Amino acid sequence: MGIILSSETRVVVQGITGREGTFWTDWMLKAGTKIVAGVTPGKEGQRVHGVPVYGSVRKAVKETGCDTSVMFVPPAFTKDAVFEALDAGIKTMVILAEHVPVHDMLEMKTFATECDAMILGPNTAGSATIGEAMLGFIPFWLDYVYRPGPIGVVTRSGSLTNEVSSHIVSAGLGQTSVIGIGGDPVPGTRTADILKLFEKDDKTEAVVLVGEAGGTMEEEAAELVKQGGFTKPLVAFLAGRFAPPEKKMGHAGAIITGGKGSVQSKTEALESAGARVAMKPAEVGEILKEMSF
Amino acid sequence: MKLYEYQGKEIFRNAGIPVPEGVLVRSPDEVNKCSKSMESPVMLKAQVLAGKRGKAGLIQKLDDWGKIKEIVGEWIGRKFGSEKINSVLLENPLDIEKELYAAITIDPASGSPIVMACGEGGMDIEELSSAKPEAIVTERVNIFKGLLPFQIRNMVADIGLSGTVAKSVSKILGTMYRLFRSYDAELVEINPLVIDSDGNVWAADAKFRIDDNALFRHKEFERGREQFDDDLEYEAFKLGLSYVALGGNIGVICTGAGLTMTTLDLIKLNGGKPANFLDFGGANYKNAANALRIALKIKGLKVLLLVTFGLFARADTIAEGVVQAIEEIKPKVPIIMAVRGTGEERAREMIEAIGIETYNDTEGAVKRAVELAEA
Repeated sequence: MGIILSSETRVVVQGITGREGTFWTDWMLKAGTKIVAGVTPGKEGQRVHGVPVYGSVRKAVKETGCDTSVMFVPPAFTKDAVFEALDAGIKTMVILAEHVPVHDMLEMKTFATECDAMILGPNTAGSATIGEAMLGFIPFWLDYVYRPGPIGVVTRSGSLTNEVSSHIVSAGLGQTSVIGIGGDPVPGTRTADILKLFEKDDKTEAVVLVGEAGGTMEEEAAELVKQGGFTKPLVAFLAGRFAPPEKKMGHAGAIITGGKGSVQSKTEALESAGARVAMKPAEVGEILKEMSF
Repeated sequence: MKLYEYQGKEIFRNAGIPVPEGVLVRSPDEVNKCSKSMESPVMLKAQVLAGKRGKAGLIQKLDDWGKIKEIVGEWIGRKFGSEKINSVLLENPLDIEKELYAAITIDPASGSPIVMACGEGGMDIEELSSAKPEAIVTERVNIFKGLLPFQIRNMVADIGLSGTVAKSVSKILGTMYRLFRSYDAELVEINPLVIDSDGNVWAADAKFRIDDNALFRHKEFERGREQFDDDLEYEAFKLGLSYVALGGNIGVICTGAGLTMTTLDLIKLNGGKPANFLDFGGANYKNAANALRIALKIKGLKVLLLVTFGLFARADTIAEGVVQAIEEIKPKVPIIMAVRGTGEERAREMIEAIGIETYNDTEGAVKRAVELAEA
């Protein structure tokens, strides 16, 4: 298995009866994900692609023993859905929605910490253990992009992950797990947290970090490497090298503000910790090929 | 969304934080009314959303009403950076004994609100934190417990305050935190927080920034043209698209923020000049058509570069949208497109059928676009 998710992980889809929830449940099942329950209040008793729908997460946990949730819930209702999941004992949740209010996120993150649970996202394309299971909308079926292999991927961006991953595969390699932490300024889980999980994962031999301008997560990752908390080969690609300051570049978290968060300073931090930083996505593949692991 | 100083001060005043008496004027004629109700000298403060207006001379203390009217006339309609000045706040000046700094914002690393205070104000926080980082006192707040009285007490003592001043500042910090939470603020800042010669404490300035994603809970605020640097940025916002003007001649339309930034970086690394950032996300026909319309309005455009790597939408669905939009809008500039994702073969056929060059790698498409822009 990879980190966080395996083919045995028992998954509930919150918002399963909505258009996107239904559409992506089909793809997640095709990826091998063990979806045991769906939840939509008021739609109890229905089935979506054979998956039983419950009216509450508490009921779903009781009936199916699910402990991981993927949420197709609009941003305004995300906080309530996450609180419900945490209260029911869910330990891992993926928030796909973009535009979740940041104060809601502060509450969710604090509550999750109190419950010893992990939130991935918001504003993520999801996570996958390649060849086993997928939560969200990662196009695992594109075999020139995703293939089982020894590389862990941690990322702040969806379509850029496809771009970078395609170069991992064209280098003759593949991925263990692809973990999307999302493009928001306050993600539930940070890059360094994921590196710690990859460090413990025997199958992951090296990690590709897909970062971008804004925030301090790449610097924290560099600090973790310096302190010996992550010892495997690390290759980074960072988007937004030429992003102008004080402008949000699409992602709410992608903003260089008060002179902080530039790709240049992140590159310096990572390189001084011994990581390799690619200037272009294609270089990620070339660097991986040069490395021996 | 940033609020103007006068809006922030109105929120402060209603919540019980003392602010100087003042009047907002939108034309020189409105100054006449003030000359009857206010005493000179008067502080003139141009209302702009960007910082560092003081350094640009947009805060002045003046005595003579004729001169005040003249300056207001000069400022209104003038540009400060990309912003137009629409109003000026006239205030009674404060008799400043000491300036402090107080702010509440979000600490992304801990995922909690953070309160910051400093016994010295006036400078902006970036200067302050590089000049005297040790002078800034901080407290992280557990969002469920709120800012607790002992935290406030410790901070106020640590910045060297005592007696009635300490009491006033404590009350202000408590109110700032309440406002930070109830307005879904990303930032509530008072700089400077002024102690006058009688020991009264005043919010001499107000910086208030509300989370755009929470505006559905605060219907009284609406993001108008003044919130954006550029007409097209505003137009894109109204269509649910994210746009940033960059000044070059290669128009860029991509799916996903990270891939868009990467495309811009690759254009620069290949010697080209990107005209814009434009992420058309969900990529249905409507989004594709809207994104094309926005990008084609960019002045001096030489070539348009589309880059997609399907996540949410299939490549052929995106292609259908793009083809429909191009046939309807009939752009005159050459278009280059990198198409990847499910259904990409069909997508490429559809797009090539209307005479557009397609590529299966981002950098190949970027290089071709740079070449065409140079020609």
